[in-house]
This record gives sequence, structure tokens and C-alpha cells, in this order.
Amino acid sequence: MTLFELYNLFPSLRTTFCQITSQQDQHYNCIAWSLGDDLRWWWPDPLGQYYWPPEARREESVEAFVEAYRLVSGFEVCSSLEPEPDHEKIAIFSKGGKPTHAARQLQNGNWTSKLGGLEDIEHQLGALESPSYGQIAIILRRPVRAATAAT
Amino acid sequence: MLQWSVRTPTSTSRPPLLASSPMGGRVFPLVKSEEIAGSKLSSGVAIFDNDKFNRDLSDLADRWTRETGALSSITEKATHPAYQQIIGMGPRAVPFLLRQVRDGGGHWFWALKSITRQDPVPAAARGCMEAMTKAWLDWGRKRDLI
Repeated sequence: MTLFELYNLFPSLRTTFCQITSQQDQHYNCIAWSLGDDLRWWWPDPLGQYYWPPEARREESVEAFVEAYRLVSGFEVCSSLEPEPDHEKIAIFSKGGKPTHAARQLQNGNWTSKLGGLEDIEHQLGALESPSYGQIAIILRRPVRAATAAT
Repeated sequence: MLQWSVRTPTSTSRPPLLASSPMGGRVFPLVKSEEIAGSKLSSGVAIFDNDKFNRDLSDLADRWTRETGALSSITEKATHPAYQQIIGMGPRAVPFLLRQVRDGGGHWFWALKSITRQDPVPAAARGCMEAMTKAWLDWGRKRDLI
């Protein structure tokens, strides 16, 4: 998909910094990518066909996603989008109370996202707010030490 | 394990479904639409049109791919109207879905599981597209569906 085609999906990308950083890949999704996994598609689908951490509730709610991030990687809720050198941050988007997307903050303050089965992009966080992904619901963070230990 | 296969009707001589009106004893065909999924109606007899069926599947699959590519939510992908229509097309759609899976065409596992009520994917392979694909293709090959 070209940047121009992405603009149709996420109109705010048109007026903010954005670059495509990978080829299309259906092997992993945004949740996996936010945790550094590019081998699996994570989702708590009700038919139980996709990966979801067994220790976490298999439920499509922001609360269950927060719990999953905490149990798997030690993320905790925080209130600031600003980059912190000693913390890694993840933003969860939701629509109608259901999670739709997750993005991970880069050291330069931009964010990296895997767009479903499409490409990875580097972008500004608010630019993905859209009818497709809804709004930013919550920000999580973990110490960089935990990130290093978990990967 | 239950035997599972897809059969295309070999006879087109079934009588049309009819209903009697309580008013005046007139008889009406139950199906009035000239075209239903993969079928053409001629004199009230449904004739399965495999080419049209596959074209319909292909059109729906293209629409679904186009409109859900950026979604991570499998639930949202699978509840898309085009995906639901494909599930509604039933067992005859399975060979098409297996070909889609084989050719890298997307997340058709929900549809396959919904239609067949089978799930050949081992728990350890959940979310791993290559392993899920292999499990479904093995399942299909054992049944001569692909």
C-alpha cells in the first residue's frame, strides 16, 4: 500500500510526519509488534484461533488488554504521552469500548505501528485516530530495564 | 471423527418448493428471487452455477481484503458483511477458502472453523500464520478439498 492509499484510511497522516518502514506482512499485527514479536498474530478472538497470553483474560476490552500487557511485560498505566528516556510506552486505541490498535513509542518521540496485515509505519500518535481505529484510550509504560529483560 | 466433504448436486430435477395460500388455494414458489448465491432459477428449479458461485466468492473476498486490511481485530474482520456472506455460502465455499489460505490471501480461519465446525490447528500454533495455514491445508488435502 502506498502512503497515498494510507491517507485515505487515516486522513490525519496526510498533514503529519509519516513513513512506511516495512513491507506488507500478514504474519503479525499491531499487538505483537508493540511487544517486539513479528512472528504471531495476537488477538483474544472468541473462537480462540489466535495467540493470546494464556495467563491473561481472553476478552476484547481495554481493561483486559491492559491486564495482558501488565502480565506479559510489566506495563503499567501512565498519563503522559511525552517520551521518557527510561521508559518504553505503548498506546492502545479503542472504538466503542473495544480495543482496535496499539502503537509503540520510539526513542525519538514518534510512534511505530503495524497496520493490521499491512505495513509498519512511523508516525505521530494522534494521526491514527480515525473511524477505523477510534481514539487513543490509554497509555502504558514500563521501565526500559524490563523491556531489555523481556526481549 | 466425522466425515466431512463438499458435494455439488448432480441432479437438477428437484421439484420447486411450493406453498399453498390459505386464501383461494393458489400455489406460489417460495423463492422469488431470480438469482441466489450460485444459483439460477429456471421454471422454479434451482440450478447450481459453479462459475457464478466462485465469482461471487472472489468479489466478496476482494471487498473484504480491501476494507479490512488495516484491522488487527479478528472479530472486526470476521464480522465484516462480506466475510459473513462468505460464511453464509456454506460448505461449497470451503475449497475456495482453502485456496485463499494457500495463496496467502488472508485470515480465513474463522470462516473455515465456522462452516466446517472443525479446528485442526493445535493450541501451540495459535496466531502463527504458517502453522495455522499448514494445519488447514493438511485438513483440506485429506478430504480432497484442495
